[in-house]
Amino acid sequence: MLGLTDLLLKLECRDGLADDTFTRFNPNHYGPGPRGGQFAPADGSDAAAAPSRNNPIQVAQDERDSAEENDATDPMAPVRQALWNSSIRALREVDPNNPALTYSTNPNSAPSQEALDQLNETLREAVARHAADSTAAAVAARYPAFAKPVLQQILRQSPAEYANARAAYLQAQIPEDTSKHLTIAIGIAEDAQGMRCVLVATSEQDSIDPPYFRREVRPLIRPDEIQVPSGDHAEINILRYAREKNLRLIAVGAGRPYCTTCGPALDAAGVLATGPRR
Amino acid sequence: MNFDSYATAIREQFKDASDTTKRAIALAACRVAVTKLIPEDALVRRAIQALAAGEYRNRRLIESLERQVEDLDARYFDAQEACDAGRGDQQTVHDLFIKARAASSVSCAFNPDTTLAMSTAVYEACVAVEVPPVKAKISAVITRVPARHSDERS
Repeated sequence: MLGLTDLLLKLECRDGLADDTFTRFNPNHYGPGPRGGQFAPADGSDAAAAPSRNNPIQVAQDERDSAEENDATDPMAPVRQALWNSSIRALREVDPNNPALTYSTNPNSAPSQEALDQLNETLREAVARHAADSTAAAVAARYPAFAKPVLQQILRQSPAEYANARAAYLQAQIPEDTSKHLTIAIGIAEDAQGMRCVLVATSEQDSIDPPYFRREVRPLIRPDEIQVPSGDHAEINILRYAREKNLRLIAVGAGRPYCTTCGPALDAAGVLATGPRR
Repeated sequence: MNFDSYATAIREQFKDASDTTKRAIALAACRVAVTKLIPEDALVRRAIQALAAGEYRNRRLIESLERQVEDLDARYFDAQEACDAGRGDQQTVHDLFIKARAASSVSCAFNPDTTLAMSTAVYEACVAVEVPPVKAKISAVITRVPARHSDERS
């Protein structure tokens, strides 16, 4: 079983929710259908379509505000609630019409682990179904753990969108004053077997190999993302690494507009560089 | 072992340790970096004293420290840009970078999440002064603190 710290780290790695206020949800009220909660429509009918006294309107809801009375008995409840809110946000982006986004709620308690697992499975399925969409690439860039089963497909179908979104997401974690001076770049490369991989680079000039990543970024880098040695502009570091490792570089996205050196260098290498330019 | 793998190893090894142990490791790491690189910095010294006294929630001190890290980083970035323009040298850039990391390690050690405090302070300290001195200090400290201890409450 995961410990509280692991879950908090996991949470922080997902979308930096550490500062969010934790709220609660009652799993008994999760959605209609055979796996729905005790207050869900037993017949699976669309309650929202025909509201009545006995068939209340279901409310599309994501982040819940609610009471705190379960704190003492269930210390993991706030963690589950924050993970739930995060998954709901992701699901809304990737599949806004997903039925799991509509359910009745009890604002007084947090979701059960089972309900959270069910929601996450729904999210994985939604990402898989929409893997070809640019929206899915953008969501996967922020929640790569969910996208793992379909990441190859996304990297194949939307490499530039993924690179741009992932770079923008990581760059956005850096405080503004620092971010003006640093660039995070993401490369999508293909090896000789046709497997695509994600390269991550920084423009930080010191601490070249391994590269130094700011404390806001480092926890978000996935173990399967290759940290490219530093020493130059982030995009150039990726170009150089791909060349040295004999990888076919497909796309490079950057957290700041490509400079007048990097943009032409990427173009000359035949790499997709679809982000903004200076 | 490089700084990244060492910090990761420390996190894995001590993630289930007591808050006291994690705080002691964080303090040991940042103290090594500060002693070596910015011993003259009064604010950072005061922050180290606060950590040693178990004062992890002094908001004013933490904010001042974060501004100090930003100032040191700004000097590093300025030096880097001057160097890129042919008006400086890489050694100056490096010196300013590691000073900023030393101060940053102290700032990290105040994190209310003790596991994050430990792993990030160790990471920043190792970037600042490299792994061996940090590892030696941590090894000395963990032989003195109990493996388990009541959780931190203050």
